[in-house]
Amino acid sequence: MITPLNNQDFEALIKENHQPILADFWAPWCRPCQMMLPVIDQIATEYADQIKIVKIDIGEHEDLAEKFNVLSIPTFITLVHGQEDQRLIGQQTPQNLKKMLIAAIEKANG
Amino acid sequence: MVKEFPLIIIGGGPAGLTAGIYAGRSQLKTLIIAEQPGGTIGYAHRVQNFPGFPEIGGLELANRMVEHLQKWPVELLIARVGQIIKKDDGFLVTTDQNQEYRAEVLLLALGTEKRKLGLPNEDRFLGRGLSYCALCDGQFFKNKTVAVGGGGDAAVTMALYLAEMTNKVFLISLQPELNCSPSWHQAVKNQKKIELICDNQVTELIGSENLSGIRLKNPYQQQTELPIDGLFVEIGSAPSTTLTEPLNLATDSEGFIKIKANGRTSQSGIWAAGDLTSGSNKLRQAITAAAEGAMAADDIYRYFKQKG
Repeated sequence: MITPLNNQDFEALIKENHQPILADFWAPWCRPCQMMLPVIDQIATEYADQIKIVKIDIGEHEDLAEKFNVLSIPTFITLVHGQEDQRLIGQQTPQNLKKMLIAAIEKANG
Repeated sequence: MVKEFPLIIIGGGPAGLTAGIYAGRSQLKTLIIAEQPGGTIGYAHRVQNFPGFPEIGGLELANRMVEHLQKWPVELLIARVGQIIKKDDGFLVTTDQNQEYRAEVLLLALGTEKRKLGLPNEDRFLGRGLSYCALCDGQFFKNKTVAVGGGGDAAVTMALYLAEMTNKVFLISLQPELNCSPSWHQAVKNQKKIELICDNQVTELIGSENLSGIRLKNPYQQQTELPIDGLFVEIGSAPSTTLTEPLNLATDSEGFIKIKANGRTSQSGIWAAGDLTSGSNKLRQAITAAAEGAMAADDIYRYFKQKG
């Protein structure tokens, strides 16, 4: 399931959620981010029970972008038990993203 | 079952989309496989040289081209092509998701890929202050100091865009003067936030976690180290040869595919159009790509008509 980060506290979301998280830092004006939309949709369906995907619009959440030292979009960060596991920057192939997700799932189930 | 098409167009920028529109109008059953429908014009901040649009954002122009294509019965598949194999009766095109399609003829409109600086730690600073997309990442550098590497139209429009939100933009050109159209040159002169550094180049990226500066080949104001928060690179592009190399197409010395005026390449059954060809006398603009796409699609239509 893809959750857009609205007014929730990201920290609370991390605490409440026991699955690995894929944080997708994006913005509506970003072309490569738009190109990633179908890939994220596909991954969300494929890993629905294993991972939570959170979309973070950097225009609305500059604080989070700063906190995670995001200086380019799209940036994809996996979080396992609340800690950053891996990050990918720029447009990605589905295979690249899946590899990162599988690593996060395996680590979480560790 | 492998789907078959008389024509498969690989690439969905101005060349591929225009070819698709012409093929659709010719009622030629066509598949376009594009990783990025609209192509790299979508990254341009402002486009001022496409007739009918005195000034339009690149993304909007790209989207309008896709919408225009969709008025015609042409299939558009968003995917990356992984392999092209020449067969006796045409071509087998495989996507990176292992979907297979057959084509009698191909039109290659793959465009080009952005050139990198070629510095040892370039990958490490990508997304840590180094960027190739000002439209995507400019917002992270509000009220900061950035540099743009490059001196052509794309680099200059990138610098002008960044000047709208940053405190200062150093525009670093390898050439003794900017290699852009005079109107952009004037716009740079009028933008006080842009400081032009010509006849120079970036030789080193400096920083620990994030980029904090660059080293220049020649001293600028007696210093070779320039403290900056971000570096945007726009130093031209080169044709991607991964897919085309196995097809043994004739290319020029820089790797651009040689075509005839009708878009035909050195191999039968393969046409090419757009930025990856040598057909535009190195101009490589959306308008020349569209024109090459139109001419190639028209010749492909004539080819099938003659074949009967």
